[in-house]
Amino acid sequence: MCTEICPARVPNEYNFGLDQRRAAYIEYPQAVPKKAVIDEPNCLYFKSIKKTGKPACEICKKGIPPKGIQGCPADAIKFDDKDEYMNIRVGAVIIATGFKPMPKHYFKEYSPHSPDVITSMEFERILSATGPTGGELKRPSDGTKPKTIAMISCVGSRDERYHPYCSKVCCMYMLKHARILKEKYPDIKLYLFFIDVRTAGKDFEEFYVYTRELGAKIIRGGRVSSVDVKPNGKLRVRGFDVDLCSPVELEADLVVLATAIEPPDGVEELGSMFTATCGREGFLREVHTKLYPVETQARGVFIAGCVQGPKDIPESIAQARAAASATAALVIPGKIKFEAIISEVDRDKCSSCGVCVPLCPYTAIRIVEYKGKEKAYIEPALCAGCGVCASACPSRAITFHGFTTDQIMAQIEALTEA
Amino acid sequence: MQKIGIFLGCNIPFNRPDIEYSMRFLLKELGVEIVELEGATCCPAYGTMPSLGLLEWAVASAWNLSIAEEKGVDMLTGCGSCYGVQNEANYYLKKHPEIKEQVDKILAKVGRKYDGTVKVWNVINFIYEKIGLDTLKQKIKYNLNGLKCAVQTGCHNLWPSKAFPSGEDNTFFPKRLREICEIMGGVAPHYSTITDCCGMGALRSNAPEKSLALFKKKLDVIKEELDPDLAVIGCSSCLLQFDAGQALLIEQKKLNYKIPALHLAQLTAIALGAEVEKATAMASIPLNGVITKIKGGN
Amino acid sequence: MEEGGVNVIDLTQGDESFVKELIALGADELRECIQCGKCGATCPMALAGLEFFIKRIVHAANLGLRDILLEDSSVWGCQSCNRCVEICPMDIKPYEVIQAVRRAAVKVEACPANTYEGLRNLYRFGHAVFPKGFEERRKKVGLPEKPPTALSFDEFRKKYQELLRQTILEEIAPFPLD
Repeated sequence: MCTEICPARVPNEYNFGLDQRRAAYIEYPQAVPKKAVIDEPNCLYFKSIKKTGKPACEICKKGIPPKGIQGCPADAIKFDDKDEYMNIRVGAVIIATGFKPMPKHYFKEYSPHSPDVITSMEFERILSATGPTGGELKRPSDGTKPKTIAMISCVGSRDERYHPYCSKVCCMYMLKHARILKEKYPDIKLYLFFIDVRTAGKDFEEFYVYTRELGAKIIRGGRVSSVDVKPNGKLRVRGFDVDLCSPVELEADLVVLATAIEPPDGVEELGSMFTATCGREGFLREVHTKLYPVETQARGVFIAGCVQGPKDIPESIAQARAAASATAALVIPGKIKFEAIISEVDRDKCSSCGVCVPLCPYTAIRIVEYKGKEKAYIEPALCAGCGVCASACPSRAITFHGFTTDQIMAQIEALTEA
Repeated sequence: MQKIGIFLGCNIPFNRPDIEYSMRFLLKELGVEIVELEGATCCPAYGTMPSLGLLEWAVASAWNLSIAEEKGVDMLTGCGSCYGVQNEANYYLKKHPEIKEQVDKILAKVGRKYDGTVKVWNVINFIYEKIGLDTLKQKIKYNLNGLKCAVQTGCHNLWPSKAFPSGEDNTFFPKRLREICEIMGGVAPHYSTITDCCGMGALRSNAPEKSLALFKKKLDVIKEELDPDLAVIGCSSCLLQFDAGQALLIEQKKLNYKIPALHLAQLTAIALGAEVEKATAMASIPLNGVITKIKGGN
Repeated sequence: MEEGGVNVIDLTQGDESFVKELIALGADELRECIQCGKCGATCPMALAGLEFFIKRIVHAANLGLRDILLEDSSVWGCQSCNRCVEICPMDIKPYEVIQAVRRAAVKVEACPANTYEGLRNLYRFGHAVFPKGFEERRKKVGLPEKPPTALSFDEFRKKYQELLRQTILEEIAPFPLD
């Protein structure tokens, strides 16, 4: 109820601003829990309280009685509710914050100023029954139904200027969009521009061939060179067709850019909170691509989904289940097995200088009281056995099990003998 | 008083001195002191020294740049190639210290040096940044009276943008030349092939038929989308194609319409009160209608 | 291709030393090209229909197809528009590949006659483009017959020629440099 009667309107973030939502709103139809919230900075109640000290609007709570419009029937509107931060102690964390689709404004050669040049994510919303057009195919500029659509792959992916990696899912979702459109509107003209069509995955190649059978036109070897706006609003798309061995062009009503999958905003800060690190491309890094794919270098911190790198739904689910299993294996026994190769402080030798504390990449070293003095202590559950502290300790108070000073000296002697 | 070194290049002084006349006139009218770059040469054109080697390119451009540096001025050119070639050379000299070292040695042998302080301007960016649209508006004597202009910035004035000291926010949607035409009272809409190559240059020298066919394709779009009174060009090479090249297409009966063309320097000079006979002396496509409109007729 | 020849390119004639030569001549990021094709549809050479144009030239260069590239004169039709450099997602600077092929061609005299004409004019007059009748044109607009460039100053022109002789022009020019 409140989400329909609230008078304040703001761009709907979930639909990338293609329509508007109210200040009292449910974030998206599948939100868990599916409850309405008030967007404080845009709510007229809060705005007016801030300005004049008096509330100018309480429609969501009280309705508009003269018009017979009822307010919240559950009396669930609480203007005095506050944001709360809660501390929860946990044994493990799974980071699965997803990705961010790259915005179109970077690609100046594709006329990003035109409202009819949109990203695939925006197109996904336009095709959705719960999207800004209620599932009707309309182009943003004038609401007409596009007759010709060009889709462009690898926009910002496989691109040294932005992201050198392949975003992996674009080829298949472009084909999915094409299939949805062709099944619903058989007369629509679709041109899909690919560098290569990458269909590695179960049933993917079959899906590709089926989409071709539906009549979608596939242009290969042709990352599009330019999109130009004509005075009549149409878009001229120019690409190279490696199969025709020729430059090609067409006039489209709508252009859809399959922009790259990017790491989500703030992932680096999030990772560093857990001492998990990001790779060169900004995604959270697993310990080992093959052997430890859901573990991070921080013990007890796991990753799943696109925060680790571009991947599709089946792969994300497989990885999420793997992360859940790894977490369960760690937490359920109620005990932790320490690795054999870790460092330990001989607290009687420790001079309390504290040099080791900031050096530890895993924040495993703390200063704690021992026999009435502050001494270094290494938490064995966190130590990853890198040995940095042992080599830095000026008092030689840290033993790196398996690589003690005596052992290393013996190795050096053996190597340099005769 | 602002000073600028006038870099002439080849096409402007030898093929289209009406552009040179116009450049000199407009600088004078806009209160800019002209410094002659005595001894300057070809930029050198892309098909000459740049096609022999990076060092060859850099050293030949450094010759010209060093002349401007010695006089303590930046350079202004009306030719896109001169703008592109010399800016790229400047960029390479900064980026490749090993080439700069060799260039320094060669320059020293002929008694010159270049420290890399000279900025190369084209007419568009010079008017836009160093004169300013408001000043231009105040100084013009003749308004363009709604003259519909199709603008051609020219490839070499746009790319490679990272080698250029200034320029458009979006080189695939250039606005500066349009804004200059509009501040003088013209109308200059965007059109869909605004950044397309005109076909002049190496293609024109080595495959003239193909070059003119490429040009015609662009002209047809201009005619269809804008049907302008005038084409306003930011590069002397493009102007040769738009004017003499167009006349050739008409002569070959491949074109059944005419779009008069002026270099931005010519148009600005005329608006500032230059002698039309001199400012347009070499034009092949008649400009009578355009001039009448500018001079206040209808 | 020879008249009546078979339409097949023998990849084994690809010569890796040619790839290395081009890299040394300025095409330093040639090998990073993934043939995405982005340069192919706005390249004036491709649009005008030249046999070889940027995408094809880069690929042939990567395959080391020296003879095929040097026998074809398409590279000399490149407009140097640099649009390919502006849009290349791999930043290989495709135009530098064209220039590298030209530089390799010049060394074996595999370039069109007008290339030499431009170089000769540049050397003799200081201007690559030097059309006849300019004196009349200049007079018509009230300018001196000669522009104040190296053309008007012998001492500058001599120095400029001396500068040019310090370059590879000294080795490859098929005309006297004196």
